[in-house]
Order: sequence, then structure tokens, then C-alpha cells
Amino acid sequence: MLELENIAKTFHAGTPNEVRALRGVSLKIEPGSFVIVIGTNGSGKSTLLNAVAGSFIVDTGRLKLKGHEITRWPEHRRAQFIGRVFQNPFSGTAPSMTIAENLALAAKRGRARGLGWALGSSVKTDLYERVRAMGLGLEDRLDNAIGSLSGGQRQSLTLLMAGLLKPDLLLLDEHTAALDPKSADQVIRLTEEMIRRDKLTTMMVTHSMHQAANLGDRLIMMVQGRVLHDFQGAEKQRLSPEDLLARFEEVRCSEQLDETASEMLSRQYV
Amino acid sequence: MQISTEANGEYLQMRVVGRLDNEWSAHLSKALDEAIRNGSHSIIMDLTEVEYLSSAGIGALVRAHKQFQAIHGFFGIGTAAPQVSEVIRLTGLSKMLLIDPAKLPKAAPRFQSTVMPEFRFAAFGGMLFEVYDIEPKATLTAQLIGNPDRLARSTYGSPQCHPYAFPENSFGLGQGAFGSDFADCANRFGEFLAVGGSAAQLPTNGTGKPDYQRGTGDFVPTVQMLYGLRCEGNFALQHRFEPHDPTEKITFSKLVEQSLNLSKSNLAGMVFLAETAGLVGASLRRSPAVADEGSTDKFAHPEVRRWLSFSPERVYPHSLALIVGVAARGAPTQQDRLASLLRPLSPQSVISGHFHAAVFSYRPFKKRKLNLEETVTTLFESEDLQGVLHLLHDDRPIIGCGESEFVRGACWISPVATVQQEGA
Ligand SMILES: Nc1ncnc2c1ncn2[C@@H]1O[C@H](COP(=O)(O)OP(=O)(O)OP(=O)(O)O)[C@@H](O)[C@H]1O
Ligand SMILES: [Mg+2]
Repeated sequence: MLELENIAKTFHAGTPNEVRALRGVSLKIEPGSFVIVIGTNGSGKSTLLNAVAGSFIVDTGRLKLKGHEITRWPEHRRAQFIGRVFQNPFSGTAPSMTIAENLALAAKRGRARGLGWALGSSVKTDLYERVRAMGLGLEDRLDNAIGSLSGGQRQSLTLLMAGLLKPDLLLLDEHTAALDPKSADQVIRLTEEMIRRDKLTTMMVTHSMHQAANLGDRLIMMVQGRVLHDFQGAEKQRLSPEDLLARFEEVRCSEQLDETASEMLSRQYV
Repeated sequence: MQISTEANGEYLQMRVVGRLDNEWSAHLSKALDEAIRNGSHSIIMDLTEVEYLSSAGIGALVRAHKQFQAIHGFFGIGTAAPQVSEVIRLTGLSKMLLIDPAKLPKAAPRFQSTVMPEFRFAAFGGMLFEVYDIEPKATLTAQLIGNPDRLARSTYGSPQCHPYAFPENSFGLGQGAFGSDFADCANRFGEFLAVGGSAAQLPTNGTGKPDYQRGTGDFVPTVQMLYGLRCEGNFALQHRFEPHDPTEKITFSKLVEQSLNLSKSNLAGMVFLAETAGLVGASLRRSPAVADEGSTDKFAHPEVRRWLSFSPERVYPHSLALIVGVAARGAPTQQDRLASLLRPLSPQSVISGHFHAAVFSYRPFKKRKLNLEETVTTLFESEDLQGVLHLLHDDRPIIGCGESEFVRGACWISPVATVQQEGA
């Protein structure tokens, strides 16, 4: 479904603020696979998702999505295949518009690629059903402005909108990070249901070790713009939150291993 | 101060050397309590080598006298240095504490003193020791296996790999793995230790989970070794150690140095079972048997990050460490067969050594003399082996985190009499 071939991205290249955010990432993601992305702050997780979504064009390397070579495609062109949800519940929606209007807008984007959404009453019924299925009681508030909803409610709707079109690739970037634990659980439940039901190919960034251990069928851990670990299959299934924390601890230790430590180790280690 | 005990017919003879002052009286009381708990009901003190007896020291003796009276035992000073007898006479306690030598044999009640394990108390370097003889004449034969110097710049291959069995009367450490042959182990070689019929190893294939083999029935743990050390023989003695000041921690280099002193040798094999305050150590992250282009020196920066896992702070506090190794006094020389395996334990120390630790979660273990095989078996049966690491001393100025520290524990020691070399 998605193929990344040695992609790299440096921000502010050649200036004192130079950041090598991606340093050669290669990944091949099969259709229907649910990939968890973890890593320390600044390790390049969001940059990786942005590179896929087309927020910028990568410096080197190639991207292929659904058989298309998309390396040079602008963001809007890739959008037909990609659904996104960010950390901030206020992005991705128009706050003054009603829930129904926002949903209709999302649906309309799909119509552009011929996904059969008419804006008639059948759409309203369909939206009503979908919102009701979320179990948040929002189906009776379809005519309220979306800005009047809580963060959790909004993030649930954003997720619904992103999933409405059954995108070929769903990108979730810490989409529960700003929510209280109960709302986060609810949004995670919705996420899981939607991905399973529609067999969505998904990349999900999270800082929750609990989510990382319990969700998905593959897990990659990013460190300094590279993929350090890539766990799949049984290896992924048996990972516990403690195992993952241990991996972070390893990274922290290795980052503290400087020249003085290497000199000390070369004298002392046998 | 040093305290030693010796069974002398129906008495236990307890000999004190040094000053018996406030600092040491508690230690004497403890030794006496220990003797009672061990079944001794008659104790005769030998204070001929006590330089100075303070009121606190007298207090401890009077307390002991009352204690032994309460259990219908017998307690007194058989012989004492003149200045000690004088102090006791001046305090008016001669009648209570001094035994008339002429009356000695009859003075002892005919109590059947139960079997009394021979032990000595010793105190030096800020530590207190209970020393038990196991097999006083026992020595070890040590084998240096393979070539440790290869590690930094080469890859180990099948010709460098040999299986070694570790039955109960042996112990060892080095780089190795559990498996049928070299190919089977190639991507897992890493730190191991073996002792008391069990072995622990840290695989380098990325799982981060230590593995172990426990000898049961006819099964003997076997390690495919790249290099390391294997010792065979019995232990000469065992000691239990703790700090003199309970708020202090015991540093590893001091512990090894004092253990070497107790073994009265310059090269000894040692096994420790110790409650940790924190360990300092490193372990391999990648197998040195997997070819890896582009790395000429594994210890060069930043290459070392891929090869070694090292935490620049003490790890595994409040845990139980099973530590295996050898220690030598004096800087190893070229002729020294074990030199390639030994490193100074601390910059100030004249002791060098090589030790690996297997870490388990903390649990108390019984006092006094311990059986090594039983204790090791219980540890491995608990199935909570947490890690295996090579102990070292992070001696970097200011930022270094120093060396491993311990709260208390037990140690088994035997001098190494012969060193052999196998397949370089
Ligand atoms: N648009 C940008 N301009 C300049 N630097 C950027 C930009 N986007 C990301 N970076 C830098 O690239 C590095 C990687 O950032 P990124 O947001 O991918 O990290 P992350 O793994 O998502 O971290 P977090 O867990 O904090 O979200 C950081 O040092 C960041 O400051
Ligand atoms: Mg991010």
C-alpha cells in the first residue's frame, strides 16, 4: 500500500538551526496493516507522517502509495487517498459550522472522487446513523456549531470525518493526547472499531505505551530521524508497555554514551 | 578489632584483638548473640590482645554475663592483657567477669554445647565479616578460554566457539550463548555467567530478555563460549559481610579486596550473593559473531553506542545480585595468563578482576552459612532473572558514576592454584 524508500528531510539546511528530522527511512506497509509509531519528542514521528501526507516534499528518497509514485505530488493531490487526524481537536474542522455541515463537507470531498454521497436527505439519515453509532449522544445535536463541543466530542467527530471516506491510508498523530483519560479511551475505542470494520491501512503516532502495546499489528520506534525498531507479527503481539519503556530507557542510555564514556569503556570493558 | 571463635571442648573460646571501645562494643555484643543463637552456652573470652577496654566495652561484657546467666550458661574472661585486668579490677567487676584459671575446667557446667559451626568474626575496611570454613585447603583450577582481545576489532567465527559444561563444582563467565552450535548462537552471543549448576545469559538479538539454564537431574548447563573464564574446584571459605556503619554502602572494589585478604591469596575465584544498593556495568547489544562492515573499532565513538549498552548511573537498586568472577592482587603482567581478562577494579585499588552479575528481584535470604548450590537453585527457580551485566568502574572525573555498591551479602572464595589456557 505504502512504500517509503530511504526518505530524508532536513529543515533549515545549512543554517545554525539545521534539523535532520528524517535521516533515511525505508518502510513497506501492507494493505490493512495498523502501524503504531512511537519515539521520543523530536524523533521525527510527525515529520514522517507529514512526509507521507505531502506537507512538504522530501529532500531525497521516494514514496509510493497504492501503486502511484507520489514523491512529487502536492498535499491536496495525495488527500484523495489519505485521511488525517491531528493532536489538536480544533484542527480539521470549521468551528462556526454545524456538525452536519462539517460532516457534509467531509463527505463532499469524497464525492469529488466519486464516492457516491449526494447531499440530499439520504445523506442526513446516513450521517445521523453514523453519529448515533458513536454512542456519544451527538446525533441530536447535528445542528449545533461544532465549536460548542468538548475536545473529546470534537476529536470523535474529526475521526468520523476522516474515516467517512474509507481512506486508503489513515494517519493519526497523537489524536488522543489532548483528551482526558475517559475521552481518550472513547476515541481509541472508536478508532479501533473503525479501523477493524473498514480494514483501514493506518499509521498511528502515540506516546501512550498502553495504546502502543495493545493496538496495531506492527510497531515502529523512531530515534533521531531513523527507525530503530520494527516489530511485527508475534513479536509485536507479545510486547508489553514495560518492554516498550525498557526500549526507551535503552535509547536514553545510548544517547548519554559520549566520547568520555566510550574511552572509559574501551579501557574497562572486556 | 577482630573477633575469632574456636570450639574448645565444651567451651567456645572467643578471642578479641584490638580496641574494645564504644565503637566496637556493639560488634562484640552482636558476636556474642550470634554465638548463643548458634547454640553455644559456654564462652570463655581471651582478651590477651585487647589494647584498651572502655566502659562501653565493659558494659558489653557485663550484659553478656547476664545473658548467659539467664540461659544457665557460663561466661567469663579466661585470660586478659594486664591493662584490661586492671580496669576490670578497678571497676570492682573481677568477681563477676574474671575466671580463676585454676578453676577453669571445673567452672564450666557440664552443658552439652550443641554443634557449633566454626566461624570467626573479622572487621576491617569499615566492614564486618562472619567467616566460615568450607574446605580450608581447597583451591581452584582456572582456564582462560579463547581470546578476549579479539573483541574490539574482529568478528568471532565458528573456529573460536566451543561448548563448555558447567556442573555444580565449577563456575565461569565470559561471552557465550545457549544453543546447539555456533550457527545456532551466532546472533545471540553475549554476557553470561555460570555457577552452582545454573547459568544465565543475555542474548544480543534484541529481545533484551535474559535467558537461563538450570541444572536438574542429569542436565548440566552448557554454554557455547567465544571467550571467558572457567574455574573448577571447591570453595575454601564463605563469609557474610555488612558495613560497620549500617548507613554506609559497601563498594565493590573494597569488598573484593577484603575477600581476597580473607582468602590469603593473590589470585582467587569468588562468588557473591549480595543485596544491591546499585550496580554499574555494561553489556553487549550486538553479537560479536555477526559480521559488520564499517566498524573497525567497536569502542570508538559513536560506534560504541551500537555495540554496548551502558547506563551512566547505578542500576538495579534493592535487588539481589549473583556475581561471579576472579580477582588478582597487583597489576597483571604480560606472563599472567589471565591478564587479558583482568582490569583494575578502581583507580586507587591494587586489585584487578573480571566479574559478571546476574540480577534478581530482592528477597531476604537466611542468615549465617549458606549452601551455594541450594541458594543458586532457589534463585533461578523463582524465574525472575532481570539482567546480566559485566561490572565495571565508571572512573570518569566528575561525571563518572563510580562502581557497584552493596548493602550486605555472602561470598564464597577459593584461591586459584593453577591457570590453564585453552584455544587462543
Ligand atoms: N516545519 C518544521 N520546521 C523546522 N523544524 C521542524 C519542522 N517540523 C519538525 N521540525 C523539527 O524536526 C524534528 C522532528 O520533529 P517531529 O515533529 O517530527 O518530532 P516528533 O517525533 O513528532 O515529536 P513529538 O513527540 O514531540 O511530536 C524536531 O527537531 C522539530 O523541531
Ligand atoms: Mg509529533
